[in-house]
Amino acid sequence: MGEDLEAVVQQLKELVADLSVDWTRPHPNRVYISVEKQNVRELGRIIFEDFGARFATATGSDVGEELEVIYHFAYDAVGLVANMRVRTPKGDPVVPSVTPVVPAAEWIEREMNDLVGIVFEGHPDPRRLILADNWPEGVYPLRREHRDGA
Amino acid sequence: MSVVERMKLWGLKKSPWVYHLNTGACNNCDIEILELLTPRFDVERLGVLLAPSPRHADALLVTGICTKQARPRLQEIYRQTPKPCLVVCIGACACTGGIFHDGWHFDGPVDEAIREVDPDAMIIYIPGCPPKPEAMIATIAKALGDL
Ligand code: SF4
Repeated sequence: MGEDLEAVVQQLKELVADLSVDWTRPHPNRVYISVEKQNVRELGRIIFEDFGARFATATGSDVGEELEVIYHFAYDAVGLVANMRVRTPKGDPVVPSVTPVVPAAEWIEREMNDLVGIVFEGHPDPRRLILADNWPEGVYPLRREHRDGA
Repeated sequence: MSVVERMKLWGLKKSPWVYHLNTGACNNCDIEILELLTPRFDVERLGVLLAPSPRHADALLVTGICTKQARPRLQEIYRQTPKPCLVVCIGACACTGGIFHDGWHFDGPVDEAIREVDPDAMIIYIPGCPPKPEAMIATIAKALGDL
């Protein structure tokens, strides 16, 4: 028998209850879990290991004064997508890496570092991934400043 | 034209060996090139053979905008080809930069990068996003006829 969506969501909610998270469910199949920086790795571990969701990808974006990272986890048995969101001010673009607990996040974190300039603390191998070898250090093509030519 | 040059040109037109090079394509143009080589269009029956090395190539099939990382590599590969070598810009990206013309990684288009190495290079263009295999065959046949 297939799993029940409501039961799965309830289970996830209980698993993350110990961390101070901001939980929203904009759509039946989607939950947003916003978390403070210091709890990112632990929450990633809970969703990946304890809950058992698959890590799909992550996205980094420049939302104005802050940078935002969203890790997308999928729980395919019921079609649930859980998004772990974390924000950091541009002046301090450092968030803990989840690669030590979710190995598949390694390259996407390197890519976010290249393109948006988010530094993943504790990443095992934070080398440049996709920018050209002669691209200048410290210039992030997907930052708003870059687009605006500032 | 010397006898040797005439022989080289005859060889190129008789059976052009092509080398496929992606300098930053979305992969769609590359898929269409694969269509050319596989049984449906089977350009080998027309003498077009995929060469495993640019040193054996009569023509470079270049797809994609020329990215900053790809530009010096494209130029080096062109230098390695025996001349005469026909450069075939396949797709809107290779021809002009296409939808990526104001991208931060754009360092082309392909013909500019090639002309920097060889101002007299033979370059032909097959626009389309991606171009149809029929268009590629027709363009290359026309270009070879004009050589
Ligand atoms: S021309 Fe179109 S199909 Fe070809 S590489 Fe560019 S975007 Fe892709």
